[in-house]
Amino acid sequence: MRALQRRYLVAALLSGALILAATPAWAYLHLSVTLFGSVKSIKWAQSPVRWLSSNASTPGVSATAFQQAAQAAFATWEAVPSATVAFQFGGFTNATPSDDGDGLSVLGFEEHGDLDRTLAATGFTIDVVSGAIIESDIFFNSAFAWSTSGAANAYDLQSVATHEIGHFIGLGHSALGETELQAGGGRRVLAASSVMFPIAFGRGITLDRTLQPDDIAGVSTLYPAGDLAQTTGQLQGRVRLGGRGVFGAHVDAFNLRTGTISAGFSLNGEGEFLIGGLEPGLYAVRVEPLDDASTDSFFDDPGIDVNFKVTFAESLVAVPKGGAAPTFDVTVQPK
Amino acid sequence: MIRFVAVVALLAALPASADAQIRRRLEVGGGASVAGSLGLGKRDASLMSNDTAGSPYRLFSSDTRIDPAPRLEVRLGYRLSPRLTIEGTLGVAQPQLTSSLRNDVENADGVDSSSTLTEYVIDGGVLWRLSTNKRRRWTPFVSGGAGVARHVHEGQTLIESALDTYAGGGLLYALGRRTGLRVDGRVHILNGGIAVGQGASPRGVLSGSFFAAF
Amino acid sequence: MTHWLRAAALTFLLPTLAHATTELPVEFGEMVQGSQLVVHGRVVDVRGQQTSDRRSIETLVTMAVSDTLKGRPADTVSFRLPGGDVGRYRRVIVGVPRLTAGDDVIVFLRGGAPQLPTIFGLSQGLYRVMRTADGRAVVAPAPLMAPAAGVERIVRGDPARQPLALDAFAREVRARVEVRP
Repeated sequence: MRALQRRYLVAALLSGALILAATPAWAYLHLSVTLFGSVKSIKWAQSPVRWLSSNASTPGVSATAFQQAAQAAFATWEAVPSATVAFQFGGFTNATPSDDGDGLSVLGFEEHGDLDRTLAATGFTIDVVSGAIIESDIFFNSAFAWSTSGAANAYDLQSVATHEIGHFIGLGHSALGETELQAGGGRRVLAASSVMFPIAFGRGITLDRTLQPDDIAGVSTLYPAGDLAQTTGQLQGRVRLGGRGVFGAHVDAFNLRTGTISAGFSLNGEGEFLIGGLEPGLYAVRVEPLDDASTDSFFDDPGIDVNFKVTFAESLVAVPKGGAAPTFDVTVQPK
Repeated sequence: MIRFVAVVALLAALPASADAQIRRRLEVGGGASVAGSLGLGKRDASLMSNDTAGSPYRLFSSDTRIDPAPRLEVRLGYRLSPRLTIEGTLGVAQPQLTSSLRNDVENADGVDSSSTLTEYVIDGGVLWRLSTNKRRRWTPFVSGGAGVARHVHEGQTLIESALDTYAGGGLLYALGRRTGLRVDGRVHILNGGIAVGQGASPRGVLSGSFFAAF
Repeated sequence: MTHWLRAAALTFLLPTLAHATTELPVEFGEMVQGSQLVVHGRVVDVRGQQTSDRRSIETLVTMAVSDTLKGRPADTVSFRLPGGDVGRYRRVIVGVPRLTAGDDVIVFLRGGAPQLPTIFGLSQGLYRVMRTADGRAVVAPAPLMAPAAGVERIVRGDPARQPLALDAFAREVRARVEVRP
């Protein structure tokens, strides 16, 4: 324990500090932790964020090929013009993603046969006293077949890396997706409009290499470029059922002119939601329950209300440039 | 205001005179109109599909329009010749902007989601009388012009400006030497602003007004 | 300025959100078959500890068992979750649920000796027992069960998909335990 603590302490001193400032607006969930009763967004303070690639390989993907795919995924997020996130490749390492407390943010393959439903996972080590991110690591489960070329019988590494790097920078899941159940087991994604949708498209599909408007709004509101607040707007309101707020409702905002969809969640007992980073214009709003998912993959709080019907807001919402639309309520009905 | 109305009423009681009409160059008018529905486009809310054909997966459909609404108009004109008048018009209306949301993939009840617009239209144009027959009270005309249509969304948080062009025609009816009634039928075309992405969006307007010449 | 202040205030009403990964969803029957132990009970202890190789942090969860739906009955059961708190350091694995003492849950556990088991599919094998307004015990989320044939689109807000009553959920588990693949 003492040696581990010493490693953590050194790493904390060497690492960048976590910005614990409130994020004024977001398109969907931002990751956060509760420290001494206060909820803090997980967000990197330093830029560029340094990452390393492990020397591990897996059949069909060498360590070099892995690094190149990860680099491309990092570059996808870095290329968002309305966001300021930046990354730096620090080299190859023998350290693994599961080596906590070494102060190194490592991406790489790891064997996790016990997690045979987990393609990849992102973890953070945080100093709960200072709030600093000591490191963030991503493992890609080598129990699965991987490919960097979109091979039909393997999962596309760059697509999954793009999703996990979204977590790496502090984004949570999006619920912008539709699925189906298949006889004999399995659940297939029919469609999704966010790389941060928690279920992968399937073997051989590379669609998640490209960010969608909802992803762009998410990273932009977490790491805004200078004029984001002046060029985009927000919509905000409450989801209500029987006179009380609905916690954990999924709220879609559809731009009637451009056709883009961004989404968010009602995040408290009053049913309040706020979706930011929106292109100014007129929006239709739709509310749906998260009743097709384990809500534990979205929220820590178990009190998510899912007993209501999908509902459109009665009013259209005009989102201005550099401001917020007037608050409105969406009243839903029980199933 | 009452004094103004009284003066206009007195003027209206005077008999018409063709020579007097020609000499009076300034025209002031006011009235009401009804603007027809303006389609702002149909668009599907779609997700990126997993199927190999790549066709979008529709979440729901939308069909958006500005609903018909009455409009108040005031007009100021200057007669350059027996046939030609240049004029400017200000119209104000509060139409509903409605989007019909239907075909939801998760069976949400279809709704007509709406918000209220305040619409200001400022146009400048010309009116060409098709007859100068002094024995007739009815004078047909054609008109055309352009201007700006400004749409203020509910809450006044979003304001959009579009180019407005119009063409039409109508009838003038002389009530007296200085006054008359006017009936217009016009087609307005909006470009940009609230109609951006729709190309040229035509809308019919039917108006009636009272005018006085000075 | 007012809307920024409001948004900032709303931010501090956030629940803790550190759960996300790339999962392959598992069908309910498959999860029953793939679990060595399925129990209903109440969490009595949650503590962080170093992993056996001292490279990372994990959480040891102990439950007082009220009903064993699959596997060998026991009064208590312990299992591991990746991540947790040790001293001043917290390891957050995106995708792992957070449990606290007092939580009434049903867990699907896989793995076993010599190591402690883990929850099937991270958060997928965790169901929470809630009380309705009239006091009934129901299990959330409603389990997603494969159709007998073909495919079945999952419709959000489907009135037919409701959290199961606790005893009905237990019957569904036991019925699938008895089905041999």
